[in-house]
Amino acid sequence: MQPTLLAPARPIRVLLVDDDRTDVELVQRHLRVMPGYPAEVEVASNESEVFKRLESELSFDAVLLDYHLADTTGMLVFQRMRSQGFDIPVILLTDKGNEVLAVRCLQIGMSDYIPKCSANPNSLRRALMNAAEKAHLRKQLEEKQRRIELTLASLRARNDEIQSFYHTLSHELKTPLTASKEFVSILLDGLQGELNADQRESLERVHACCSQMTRLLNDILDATRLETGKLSVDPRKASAIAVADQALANCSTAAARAGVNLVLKAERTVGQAWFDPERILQVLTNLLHNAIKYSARGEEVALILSRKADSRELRVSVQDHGPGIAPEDQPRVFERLYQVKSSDTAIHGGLGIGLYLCREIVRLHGREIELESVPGQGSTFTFHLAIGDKQ
Amino acid sequence: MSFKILAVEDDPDINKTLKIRLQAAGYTVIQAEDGLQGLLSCLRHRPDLLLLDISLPAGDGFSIIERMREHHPETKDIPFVIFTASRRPELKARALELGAAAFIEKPFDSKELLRAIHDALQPTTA
Repeated sequence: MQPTLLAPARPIRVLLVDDDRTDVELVQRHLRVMPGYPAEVEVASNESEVFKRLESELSFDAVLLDYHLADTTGMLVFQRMRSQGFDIPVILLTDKGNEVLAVRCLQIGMSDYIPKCSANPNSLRRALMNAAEKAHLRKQLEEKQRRIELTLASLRARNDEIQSFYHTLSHELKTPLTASKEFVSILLDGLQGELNADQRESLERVHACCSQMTRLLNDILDATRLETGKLSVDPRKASAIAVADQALANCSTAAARAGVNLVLKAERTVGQAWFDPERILQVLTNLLHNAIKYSARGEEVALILSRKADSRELRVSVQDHGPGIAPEDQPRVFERLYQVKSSDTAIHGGLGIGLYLCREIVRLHGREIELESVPGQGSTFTFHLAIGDKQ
Repeated sequence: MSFKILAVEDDPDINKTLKIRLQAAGYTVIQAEDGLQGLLSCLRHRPDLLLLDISLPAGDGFSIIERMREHHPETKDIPFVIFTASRRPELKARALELGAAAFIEKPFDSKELLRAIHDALQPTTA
């Protein structure tokens, strides 16, 4: 390859390391007459002189290093240079051609290799220019890598800021929400006087809205905790039926309002399983709310708990008979912030993090959530939980 | 004689709802708005139960319990319920470790809160 780097503005500074006076004079003479490439040469004849020169104020552009030195070899000197952080290009000089040595010196990171018998002003010039170019390209690459790392670090910091903002935001919203919900339930409980039927219905709606906001805020909080790796589960032996009942209770108001028939289909023998009841309750509540949202009036949404006779697994499904999900959308519905259609957000609302959270919470239990859906016939989300004392 | 509850919460609206709710349930309610006031109030009034927010000015809910334990051992048997807007499991773990009778997330369900208070006020048979 032809060197593309132009001759430098100042003479190239070379450290020549050789303990043979004749060779030193010969190479120095070649270096002095390199065409269009003036060089200043310093000489070192043993290892300690090499490091004395390198540590001095002089900065070298390249090192020409003899392989045979009285007290050591060029290879060892090179390795010590690198281990001490001197990354100047190094060209190895040898007495005669030796391909094994040539390959070895390139493998450990030297720039080039010249047998002394073929050293002349042109070959030295070419090797030095190549080495300078390689060093230049390496510096550029390092600079680019450094910039990429800086950009990455600043993006990470920005992401942390955003996550922390969301966390603070949802936390701050909870305080007025707590007061609103409680004032409404004080009225609903008749603590400040009797309500007529219309007032009661309006307040029940406000109460349901508060509950929905609570759920959305908790989803945001949990999604940001997931992003920062802080969301964890605490699996323990717990009653699947109790959690299923609670999930149904959480969704009963929404189901009633949507005219959807919410049912629990469970074999009462399902018993206890190994899971985090609060987190699985969150998953079931999310899946049921989703199913209700996509169901038409009069349709059924079922929470199904089943266990095969000899299985150590409890199967948990949420089934609806809504419009279903097109096959091409199915792999993406669990992605964060994914909505099936852009019009979807407008029609059905939601943040696009519910199913993402469901998948991640089930994954934290060491399982996967699966989706079966036929457009026009409905969707079924299924996951399994371990039965017994541990996963 | 009704049970005396000291609620330490810095939000005036939540404080108002607590007062209405707890009085309607037959409790006597004392309120404080920061950690220091909470501690002083607790020493002065000797409530039967503490209802504590975690994030408070002048000493969080945990520090009230810790300071009581350290300097006022005579208050160590007063049960306490923690209620907070945070979902961090480490806070729940810390609350239970300190001996909280219950850990309730805001926004709370008032039935759940009343049940937790009721249960915490039951004399232990141990």
